[in-house]
Amino acid sequence: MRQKRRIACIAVDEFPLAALYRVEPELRGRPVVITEGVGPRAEVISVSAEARRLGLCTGLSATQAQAVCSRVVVRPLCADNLLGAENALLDLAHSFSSCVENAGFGVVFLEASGSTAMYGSEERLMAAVSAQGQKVGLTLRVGVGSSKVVARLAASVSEALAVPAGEEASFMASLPIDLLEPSHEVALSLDRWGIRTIGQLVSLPADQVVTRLGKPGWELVRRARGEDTALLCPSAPAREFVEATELEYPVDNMEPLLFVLRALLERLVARVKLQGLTAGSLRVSLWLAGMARGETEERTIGVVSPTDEVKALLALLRVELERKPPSAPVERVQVTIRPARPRPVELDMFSPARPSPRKLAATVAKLVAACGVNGVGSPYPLDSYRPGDFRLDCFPPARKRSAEGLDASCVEELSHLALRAIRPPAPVEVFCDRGWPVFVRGRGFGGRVVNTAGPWRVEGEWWREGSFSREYFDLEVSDGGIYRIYRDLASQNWFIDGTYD
Amino acid sequence: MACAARLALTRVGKACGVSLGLSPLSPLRLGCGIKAVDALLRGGLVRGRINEITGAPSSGRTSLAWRFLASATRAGELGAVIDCGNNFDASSAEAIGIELSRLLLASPGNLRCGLHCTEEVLAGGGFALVVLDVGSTSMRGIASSAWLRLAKRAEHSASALLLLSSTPLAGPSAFLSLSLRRIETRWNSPVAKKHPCLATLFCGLVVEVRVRRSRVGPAGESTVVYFTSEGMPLIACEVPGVGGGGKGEAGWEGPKAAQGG
Repeated sequence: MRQKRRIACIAVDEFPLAALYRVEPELRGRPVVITEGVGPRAEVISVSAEARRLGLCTGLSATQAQAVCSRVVVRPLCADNLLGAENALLDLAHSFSSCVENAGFGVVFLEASGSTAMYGSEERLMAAVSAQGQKVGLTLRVGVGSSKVVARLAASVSEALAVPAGEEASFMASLPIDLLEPSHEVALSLDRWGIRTIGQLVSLPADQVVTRLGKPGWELVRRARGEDTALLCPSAPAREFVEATELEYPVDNMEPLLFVLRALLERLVARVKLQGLTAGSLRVSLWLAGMARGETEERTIGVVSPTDEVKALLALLRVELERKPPSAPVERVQVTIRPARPRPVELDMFSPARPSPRKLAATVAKLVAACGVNGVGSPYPLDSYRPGDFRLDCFPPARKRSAEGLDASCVEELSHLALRAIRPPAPVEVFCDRGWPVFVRGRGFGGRVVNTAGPWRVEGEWWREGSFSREYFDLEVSDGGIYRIYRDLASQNWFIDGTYD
Repeated sequence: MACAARLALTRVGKACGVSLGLSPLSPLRLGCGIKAVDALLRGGLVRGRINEITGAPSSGRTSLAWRFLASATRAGELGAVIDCGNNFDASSAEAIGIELSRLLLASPGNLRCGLHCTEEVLAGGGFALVVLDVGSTSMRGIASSAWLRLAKRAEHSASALLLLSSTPLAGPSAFLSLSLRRIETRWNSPVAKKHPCLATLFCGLVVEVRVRRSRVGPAGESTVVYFTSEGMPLIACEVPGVGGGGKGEAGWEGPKAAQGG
């Protein structure tokens, strides 16, 4: 049997207000109004429930609103907040369905056909959507129906309502006609005819309505019947996650800037987690005071081990900003996360328990923030004749490297001596007798040479800029140390590059 | 989950009278594989505690610390080295037996940052052994309470924390403190003295490992360990006056220039 089509609608009431609450949750429960523009004549476009109870409504000016209620909080409409909330809503929708349409201004539609197979029922789907909405700081209304119109109406009249297939007409019959959002002229005409509900409009002959109202009337009639005038037009999920905020005043101090960055990161990470992803790289864009319009200062930070820990990401940002501070006070900040898939780890029943990959990635990210990108990793000796050459791989390595050297049984029998490298190799003074070192003097050590082993000549990479040609000696010196030194054959200078310990 | 599965399989094996050859659960002690040292330490380093290895330069302390790391990583566990002085040498570490793919190396640059990194690694958990190699970094500004805080962190983790330094640092916070002293340096030189054209080889160190402080056993006990060095590659050359099979004299081989590229 062919499955009937089901569409879910996720709507956010008072979208500008909801976008503000997402950024400033402490304003919930207080009388708040959103104005379009700034200044005393800015028009109020959104009013909170508390402010409405105090007598405030849309259309007032900011001055009038404050005159009605002195403790009202007036906030201008912020494009960054709106964009952030809209993107969060889309990310949430994409976590439930791959077919998502952004209808704008806090309304999205998603394909919900077959959702009962995953969630058991449409009620559970709606509950899951609401719960995820709380995680991204949005209070949602969810409606499910056989078309976008029905789903939108269901979300308008209830916080969570699923209209069963075949019952659309009875559901819509008693709903007010205003919910279909007719144009002003059409609404006036309908009001003159005494049409107040959707059911009354549907009962009229459609051809007569079209004759009198034209194309807008025909579209209205179709919507009143629960038919969509346009198909669900899916949008692709975003490849990057962006949050921005404009600061109340230019900031030239690190701590307030990090406070703002932390809030941005928290919102971003909540959105990244919805998709089951982690942060692969960060980009911070700073709008500075005095810069030309459209110019920004950017910092890009690669996350060595993708993580979703806010603390670790903030530490990386702090290190980068302290390394290269902004050249002027910051007026606006934008953070972009390019996501990465968390690296899967195959567990082994017979191996000792390992930390979870996320926890390990967070630990590595914190170490990278403290030591720098080039200071943390899994050492891997290079295939080179240059003694001491190694590089740092990401930890843990993506592929298991072959275990070279001794196996576990041989480790017990042979106890090798370790070398403590000196980086970079330090210059030393060496006094020789017939080519053999007899006295060595360097920074922090020196003395008569008691025993010598060598020389061993090591040459390599002659085809490159960094070619080397050295003669190595192992020396036991009267100060008690045993050192590895070498003479650079090109410059004839002596260096110490390690201590046997 | 792995532990529960292992226990379930062990019960199944016992019921059927079959040994399933499962690896043992992580022990409380972390041995180094040198029998004499493990016997001295009654099993090895203590997990969840601060252990300390001190000694003068070239006393073998780094070699012993890397042996503990080799033992842990070869058993499939993870290890971490916080290298404050940037002294880590990957080649000798690999030769000692450390499985480098299971080793996390961090080079903080100073001890204060090194202490912070050690705390983060212990807090993250999952490492059998964390080595804080103090090296010759300055101790200025490091309060003694830092070691107490580190000891508390180690207690809450299942990791053994090993401090590697030239002098004792942790004081009473250390559960186990070892001091190393070089007794003898071995050189392969008796034949070379007779024949100056022959090369001398540095063979290794004979080291005394002494328990300076221990909360589980008596202090003052010691043992002797020999650490061998891995010399440069050799080639054969004709040695005048030394015949093949001469009694008491080795057929000497001289040094070679290892050509790259």
